[in-house]
Amino acid sequence: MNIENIKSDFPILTQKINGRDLVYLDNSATSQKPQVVINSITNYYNTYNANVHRGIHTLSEKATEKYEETRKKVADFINAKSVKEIIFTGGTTESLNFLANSLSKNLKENDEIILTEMEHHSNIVPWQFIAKEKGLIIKYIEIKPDGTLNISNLEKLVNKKTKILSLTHISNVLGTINPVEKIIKRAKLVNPDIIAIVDVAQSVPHIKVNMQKLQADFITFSAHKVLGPTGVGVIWGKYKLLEKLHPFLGGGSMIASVTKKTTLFAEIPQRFEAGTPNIAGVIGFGVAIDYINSVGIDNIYKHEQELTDYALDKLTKLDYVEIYGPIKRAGIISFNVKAVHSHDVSAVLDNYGIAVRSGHHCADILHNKLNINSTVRASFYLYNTKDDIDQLVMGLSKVKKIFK
Amino acid sequence: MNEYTSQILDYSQNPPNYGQIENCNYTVTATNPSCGDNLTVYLSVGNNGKITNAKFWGEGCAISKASASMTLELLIGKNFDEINNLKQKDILNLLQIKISPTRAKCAYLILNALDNISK
Repeated sequence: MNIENIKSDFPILTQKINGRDLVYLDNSATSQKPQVVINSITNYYNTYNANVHRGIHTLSEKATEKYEETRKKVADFINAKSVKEIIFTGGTTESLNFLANSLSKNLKENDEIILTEMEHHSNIVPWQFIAKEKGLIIKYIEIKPDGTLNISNLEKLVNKKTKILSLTHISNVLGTINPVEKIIKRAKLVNPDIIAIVDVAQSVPHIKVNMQKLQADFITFSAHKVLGPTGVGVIWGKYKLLEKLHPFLGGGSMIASVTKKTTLFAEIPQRFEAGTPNIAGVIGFGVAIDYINSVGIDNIYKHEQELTDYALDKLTKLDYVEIYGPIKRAGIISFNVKAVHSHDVSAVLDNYGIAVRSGHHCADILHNKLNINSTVRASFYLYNTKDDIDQLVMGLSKVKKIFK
Repeated sequence: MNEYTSQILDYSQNPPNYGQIENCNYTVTATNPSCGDNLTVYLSVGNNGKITNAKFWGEGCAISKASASMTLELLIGKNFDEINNLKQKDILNLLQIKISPTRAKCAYLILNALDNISK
């Protein structure tokens, strides 16, 4: 894996920010895009822009073919059994709202949903909406002080009323890699009817996600964190469950026929994709997956683990920095500079061209649990180098100097 | 590095009006949902309608703390009604720094709190 070659594929990374080389460490928020992805979007609009699944003309046929090619690429990427199990949405948030809404049609008062305290707000708020509407009970798997989930009492949390278990594969704040296979297996031993949803938005860009191993019934993720464009998300669902799933959105292209009284739905997965989709985005996403495959997801993971070990080693040596989360983790490190607010740390780093995230990263419950107001987050991807981490450490010494 | 002037650092690290006022006339909290920051403002108003004491309490970045501290310092001794006249440009005049759009929520958090008091 030649990082300099990889870096040169990402035009944005060659620019200067505040007179310094850009050091982009906000990959958990969104990844940068390689030139080939950008080109594929321009090429679609320049040469075959047309609606999909509709026109019997050359452009529409080409657009449809390219759009459906991505479905196949996504299915292969996550080792799904069938392309029919892949549904395109607008992003992870839409995917989770879709599932919460559609699955809730089969839920009744006092049914229970299990989430974890480390969920992104997108895996909390949609469930709260339907819980309020239907009188459902939401329970949370707790976070231990070391940033891992406390699953010792899982069998007490799960019961016959538990209908849904929805949890993240990797914490977007702490980088914790949750043992989702084990958690789902144990929960289903108590109640085999539970529907298990895994939010893989933070894992699928970095580690091999294999649907024949993960034990999930549904997964959700976004293209834009996997080198793809914004505005494209995915739901993968077991085909047997998709057959019973009510569509979230009604409209064009999801129907077989419409009368004044009723509608017959199209086949799966078309019935779940109402309206004109983000065609350019989906096509760009397919090229992003090709790019990831050309580098190799296992190589990417190995590279990020090296960077994470290196960064943890450097950061723990700074006595003015407090790091949160477990030692074994994905390439996400949240921390604080003692007595300095995360916004200020981020603003000073930006002056040196270093992009990190500050705030609560859409995870209020996690921050409250750890009794912290906000954190600074550095997150890595395939184009980051040890030099980027050295720059971060240099930037933090400047923070220390200013806020002495 | 123009935003972390010595004035901003002084006011944020040792804010002169940081604290709470017991038995004050007005107390209100404003939050910044993008970062979870919160700011509670306490105001004491005398019989003559003048602000006699003003303090704030809560979590925030250097910009939001300095902004709160300097604004409240300005208000002490003024008529309570003058809260309504405070504008964003007054805050900028106090801070004497350039505020980027992403930091505006921090700088103007004190204005949100005061708006709620005067409502």
